[in-house]
Amino acid sequence: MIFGKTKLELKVGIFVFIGLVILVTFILSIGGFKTWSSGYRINVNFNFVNGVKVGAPVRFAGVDVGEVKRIKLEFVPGESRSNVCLVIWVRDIIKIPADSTVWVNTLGLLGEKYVEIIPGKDYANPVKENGAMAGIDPLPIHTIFNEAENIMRNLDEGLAQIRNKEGTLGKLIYDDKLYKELDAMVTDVRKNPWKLFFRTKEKK
Amino acid sequence: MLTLFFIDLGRRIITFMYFCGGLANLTAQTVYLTLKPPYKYGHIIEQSNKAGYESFPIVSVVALFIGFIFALQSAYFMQRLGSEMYIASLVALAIVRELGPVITALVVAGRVGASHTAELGSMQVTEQIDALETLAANPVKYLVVPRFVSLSLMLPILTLYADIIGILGGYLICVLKLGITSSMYMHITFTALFYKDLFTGLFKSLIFGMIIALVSCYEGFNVEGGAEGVGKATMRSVVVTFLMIIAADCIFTALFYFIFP
Repeated sequence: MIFGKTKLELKVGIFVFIGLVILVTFILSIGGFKTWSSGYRINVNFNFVNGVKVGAPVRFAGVDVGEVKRIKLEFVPGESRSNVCLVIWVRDIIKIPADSTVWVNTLGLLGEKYVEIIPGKDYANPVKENGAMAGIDPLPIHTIFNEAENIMRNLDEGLAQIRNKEGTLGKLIYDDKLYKELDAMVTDVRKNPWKLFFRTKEKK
Repeated sequence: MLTLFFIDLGRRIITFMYFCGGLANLTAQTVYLTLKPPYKYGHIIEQSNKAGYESFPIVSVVALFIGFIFALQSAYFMQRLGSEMYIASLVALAIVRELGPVITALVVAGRVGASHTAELGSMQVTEQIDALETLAANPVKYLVVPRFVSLSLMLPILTLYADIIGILGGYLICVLKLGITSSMYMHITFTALFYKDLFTGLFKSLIFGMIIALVSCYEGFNVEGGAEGVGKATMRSVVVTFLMIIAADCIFTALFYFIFP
């Protein structure tokens, strides 16, 4: 049996120890063990990344396997353009075929940006540590809107022509001449069905 | 009449300044003597037992109920939006960032701070503190430093307990009552939390611990009169501690909001 001062020390010791265990649990749970599991880095080159941030998830075949560690913006003197290099970290067990397609995807229309990797076929030749890949540039959002606007404008023009009774479709909808003809024909065929089997002699 | 008003106002201002000066003086002495050897481990352990281990039951009960209440109250509104899922992140953020540190500090201020004031106050009234000085023992080193160290170390640990128990309270309500699966709840809780949430909460509770120790000891040292004075000082100590905890919380929350956006 433990008495007096030692008992006091024991109580405080247990109390503090469990507190520290809780602290470590919190830290590990918040960090998600990611920092301790081993992985490798690869570089993916883009011309435009549409606002990807450091820490954005990386998905391989739709599964979260890593994150964006660094974003480097570098000038390429030879081609006189800027290159965006995303350094992404991927877990060790994931082998990325060299012919995979990499692009920046968006959750929803304006949601969070992430790096999507669609696996290729060439598993005999996976990307090595610090290896480079070329990414497919995402369309800037204004290009998408411009494209949509163009489509809408074309549609609108077409519809306006129809509404103005121009062209075949306009006449088909607003001109009842064809309808009357058809109606007359059907009535005629009902009345005289034998006409369908009758071969008119066309005069030449 | 007007003169009386100004006399009263002036007296209050001077009392307040005396209080600020005295508290600052005590703080400086305490910090200096804390760092200066010899260290009194025995006293620190004894005070840690009182402040930490023995406060644990009440802190955990309060934290559990706060977790229940927070989950239920947010469920009332989140169900209207059809997003009961996010009760988990609400509970986690509210408890880890704010409620855990503050509720723990208030409970400990009421339980431990008041007892420190009453203890030191009766020692002052019965002239035991003067006796300590005649024995060439510094009363601040002997009485305040162990309380200061133990409270500032124990309050963050109690806050950690309160955090985990509060989250457990929200978990019980959500899993048993609202039909959110257990793994989903834990997943949402820990994706909502970041390191800064945890550490700003713990930093705040460290400051609260220091406030409780210093204010309660200061009020205890400054008791005047007999038993009545001890009672008054205890009351004032609890009120001042509560006010200073809330004020410090406000300041630090605003500070962290702008420093770590």
